Amino acid sequence: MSIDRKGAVDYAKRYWNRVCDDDKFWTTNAVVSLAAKRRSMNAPSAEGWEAFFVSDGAVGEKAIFRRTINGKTEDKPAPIATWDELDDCTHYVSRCLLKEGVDLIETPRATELTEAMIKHRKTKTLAVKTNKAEGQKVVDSGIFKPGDLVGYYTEAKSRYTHTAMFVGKQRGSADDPGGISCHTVCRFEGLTQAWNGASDDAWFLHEGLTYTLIHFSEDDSVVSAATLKWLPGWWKVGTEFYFITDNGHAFSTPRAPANEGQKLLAGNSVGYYFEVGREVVFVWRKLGGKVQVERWTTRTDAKKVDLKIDGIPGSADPVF
Amino acid sequence: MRIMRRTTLTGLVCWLAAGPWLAGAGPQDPIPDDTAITMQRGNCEGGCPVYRVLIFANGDVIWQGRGRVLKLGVVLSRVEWEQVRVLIDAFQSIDYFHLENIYGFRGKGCQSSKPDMPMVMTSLVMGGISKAIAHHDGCVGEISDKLTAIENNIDKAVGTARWISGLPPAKKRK
Repeated sequence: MSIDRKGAVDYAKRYWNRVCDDDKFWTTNAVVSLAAKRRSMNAPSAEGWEAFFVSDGAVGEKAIFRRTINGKTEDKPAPIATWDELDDCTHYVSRCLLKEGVDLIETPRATELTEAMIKHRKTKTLAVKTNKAEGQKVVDSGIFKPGDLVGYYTEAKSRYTHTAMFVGKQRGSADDPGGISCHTVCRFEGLTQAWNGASDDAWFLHEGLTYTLIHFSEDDSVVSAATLKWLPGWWKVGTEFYFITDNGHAFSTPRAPANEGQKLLAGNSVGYYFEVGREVVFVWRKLGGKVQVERWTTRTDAKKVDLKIDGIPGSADPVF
Repeated sequence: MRIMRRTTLTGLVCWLAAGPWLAGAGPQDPIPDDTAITMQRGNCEGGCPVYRVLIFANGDVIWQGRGRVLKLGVVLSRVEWEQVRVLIDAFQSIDYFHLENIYGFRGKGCQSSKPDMPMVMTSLVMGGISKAIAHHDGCVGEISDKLTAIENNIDKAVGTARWISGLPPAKKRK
């Protein structure tokens, strides 16, 4: 079964500012059952009470019961949980990914989810702990799609401190860098500011973070037989030698191969390639969290391939 | 959270009595019995330790770990009298009682603002007067930096690291 990106984004759009469909949310120390809170706070759903995450008027948000009757909005005076307690980001993202059809074990911990998805057999990790500028190359490559995962790593804490689901360019404007949806605080690109005043719903959120971008690859186009006839093998691009496998992987080394049969299964850079229309798009993870996106045009010349490396024209020559 | 500044008649008398002391106490000057220093660190988006500490004039300390800390709940502890003195001196050195009530809320009064930092509430009760300040720890600015230094000094004096992450408290300076 293929993954359902639209289903995940639709789910995110429905639950981005409220408690998920499992009627649970996570706090620092425990999971909160909404059913129990409904009883203890006298907020039955039959009377219209829903649990929302709203601004706390300071730097964070709080969970509250709210209902709207005859156009009049009413909140329970006491919060269900305060900013000091809330910690629902990864639980929410887990729920979104489950709706997408991703096979995962639900978790509230950002590091646990991110590392599990890096190791997942149906993902391709396009960037690891990269910066905003390098990550933007991945987003702009067109390979990173709505429903993919962003893990936010905080160097000072030596761990992933947040996760979000990429939702594409919801604003639709030319300068839209691409947005995310998340909880704690709740965001959905284009909807956030009107709800809680937060303007940072672009995929990179804010300064002080690095980004791991994980692409769910189950619905990628299959590389055509025609491309697989000419692409796999050794290529020379600038001063680097690429070894391109027939299963979508590529590796780079500065050392020339000794013979055609030599294989390279690790390298200075690790990449994935994708066939997109008449192009083959490479997304390379390079040293120091750098990213390189290459667009190879479909081969017409037996001796070389025209390509663009991060938008700059170049060429690739077969080594053998 | 309500931030109150309270000056009662009793407090005024005490304040007048403690005038020279508040203006610049010497190292051996007594610490008023009503002295209490509090600090509450709140949450941040990336998950910050949430806890409260309360330090009394005689050095008694109450810790309450509330979230993302090794030690949840209440712990009673102590600091040396000299450490209380040093903290009070730090408060006085920035004229704490005459500062604003809020610093860095939504970037107000900041030269720049670091994201993903908590709000920190401090308060000082002493000689019948009290003052509380809400401070966004990501705010970069002259007063904000001084408040950050005081907050960090409270952490060091109490040795909160042992309850936050399990690190041993800093050795006492003789």
